[in-house]
Amino acid sequence: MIRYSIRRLILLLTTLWLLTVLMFVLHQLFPGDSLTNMSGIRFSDGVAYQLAQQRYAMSHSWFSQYGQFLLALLHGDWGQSLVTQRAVFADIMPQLGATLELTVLTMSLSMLFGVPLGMYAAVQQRAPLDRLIMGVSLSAYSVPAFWLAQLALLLFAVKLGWAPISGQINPLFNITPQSGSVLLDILLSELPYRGAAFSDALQHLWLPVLVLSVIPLTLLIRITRNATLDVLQQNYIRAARSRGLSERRIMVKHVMPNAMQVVVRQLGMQFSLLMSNIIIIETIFNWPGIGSSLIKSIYERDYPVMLGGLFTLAALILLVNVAVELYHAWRYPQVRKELYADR
Amino acid sequence: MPTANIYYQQREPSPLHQIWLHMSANPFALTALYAFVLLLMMMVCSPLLAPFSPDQQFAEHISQAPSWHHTGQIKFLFGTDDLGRDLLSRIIAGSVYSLGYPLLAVFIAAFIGIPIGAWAAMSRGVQSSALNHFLDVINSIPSLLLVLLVIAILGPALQHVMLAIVIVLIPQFIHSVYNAIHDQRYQDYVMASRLNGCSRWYILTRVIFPNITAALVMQITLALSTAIFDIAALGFLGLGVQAPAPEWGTMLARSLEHVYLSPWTMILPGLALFLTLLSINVLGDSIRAAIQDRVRSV
Repeated sequence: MIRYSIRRLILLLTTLWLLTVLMFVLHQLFPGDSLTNMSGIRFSDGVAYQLAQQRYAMSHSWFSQYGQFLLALLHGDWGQSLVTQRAVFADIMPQLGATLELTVLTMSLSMLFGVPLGMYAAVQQRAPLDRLIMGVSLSAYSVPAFWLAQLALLLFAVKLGWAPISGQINPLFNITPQSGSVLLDILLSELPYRGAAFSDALQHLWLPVLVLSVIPLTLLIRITRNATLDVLQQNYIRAARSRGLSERRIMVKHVMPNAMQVVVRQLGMQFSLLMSNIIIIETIFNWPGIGSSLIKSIYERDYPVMLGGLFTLAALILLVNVAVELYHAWRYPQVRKELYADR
Repeated sequence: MPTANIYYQQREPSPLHQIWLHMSANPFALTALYAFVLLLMMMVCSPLLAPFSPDQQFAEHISQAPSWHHTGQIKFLFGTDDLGRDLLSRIIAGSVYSLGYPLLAVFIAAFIGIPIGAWAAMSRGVQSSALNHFLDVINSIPSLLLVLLVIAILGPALQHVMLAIVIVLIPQFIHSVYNAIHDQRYQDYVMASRLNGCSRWYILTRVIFPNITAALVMQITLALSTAIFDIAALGFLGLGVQAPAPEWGTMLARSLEHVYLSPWTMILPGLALFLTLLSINVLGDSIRAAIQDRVRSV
């Protein structure tokens, strides 16, 4: 396990390092002055520009320029936005919180419903209900997320009026973003009207979470069903049956833990998929997360913000993937055996 | 001329043919296949099929409801949008952007990716871990993010989107071909032909390749679904195909402003996109199921 963990962590660090190299190269590739792209300070800013020139060692070789860039990146100095002149890093952290809030809620919702439904479908294999669940999940997987969001908005927000159209919370509540996650911020704040603010935030939250969870939910149903079917054919299940264990006990004690192994392995991929949908959904619902700010920065050609957002998202995805792989290998010894076994 | 069967001879169907036998037993897969072929034909014949030019504006028929609505007209089967353009013509013409260009991107990516993957899997020097881990990492980053990166450098335009999607799809092809060949490479039948003294080229093309065609077809459907989604998503975000072109995602983005007044301008292009993606995904899924069945039955 230690050898495997170290290998994965080294791979993670190498990839993150490659990502910073890529960022540096992109700063040179983007149109315009590479120092302006890196720091967000324009040539017309005079003294600040000269200071930045010294800071980023612009008169030296590309190699030392990269060194300075990496140092600044590690210190959380990601430059300032070309549009708002605000520090990128300080702006991104609350956005990350807002994105993570959506992500965590979506993933928990999908796990909570996807795994039991998938197992239920597997037990009822080829029964009408199984066909229904599988049919719905296959078509739901094909619905483009942005279209689904529009349909949901049209139905729930415009026609029925059950949810507000966009945003995170009614601005009248005047919640100062600390962590970025609006529910946490409300709980942390000491306002007298916390209850009302919380219910308002929930009203804003449920529709994007519902739309986002459609794809992970349906995929989890399919994965769980197929994994459960595979496990049900194993000899140890037959052995458990022959020992006279009850069907419920077999499902809970013998089938579920083994089926979960396959599900856990897929979680990293699910997360990547969710991230690409979250970019679109945040833009549609005007959610103040990384995805919507990334899209906005591409419109505005705000390179420091753009690269900050891309780096954060990519790093987040890589971290989650490695975390899932490590958990998978730690929790399921048979996976480790496969990893170490020679061909 | 009928083929004469004089001698009793049991012929094993080829792997691809076996997959087809599995698939044709599944009515959903066949429906998806027919739907996909229909969509392809619609795309190829789009200039002939479309009743009007997609850019032609009818000033007296602005935001006309579809024909099944009580204010609709049969002249405009799917109604018109806010500029008075016929929606049916736009959806038919849009299939070139939303289906044709993704197809082209997938074929270019396959053309580049498959040989590289095959070469990497057959050569001894590039051993599994390094390349495989690297590709794992690249593939763990969602394609939309990478496409956005390329668009951020080059700026939004159709040819840049195509380039971005090809670049993003190539590693996926390399990875799947690499894995597919690697799974076969140490099987006994490959070892047998190697002991027979077959050349590496022969082993790759005549021994291994027939056994991975189904996996390749599956990867192509997967890549196609990704490419269609990405082009539509970029169009929707305003970063891909630009406005007057009748791309389905761009049409959806435009419909956002007046969806209260004319919901059909949103529902119909989205439905076209959904049906296209659904037919491709069902195809891919049934090919996957057929491969599993084949492996299980051996």
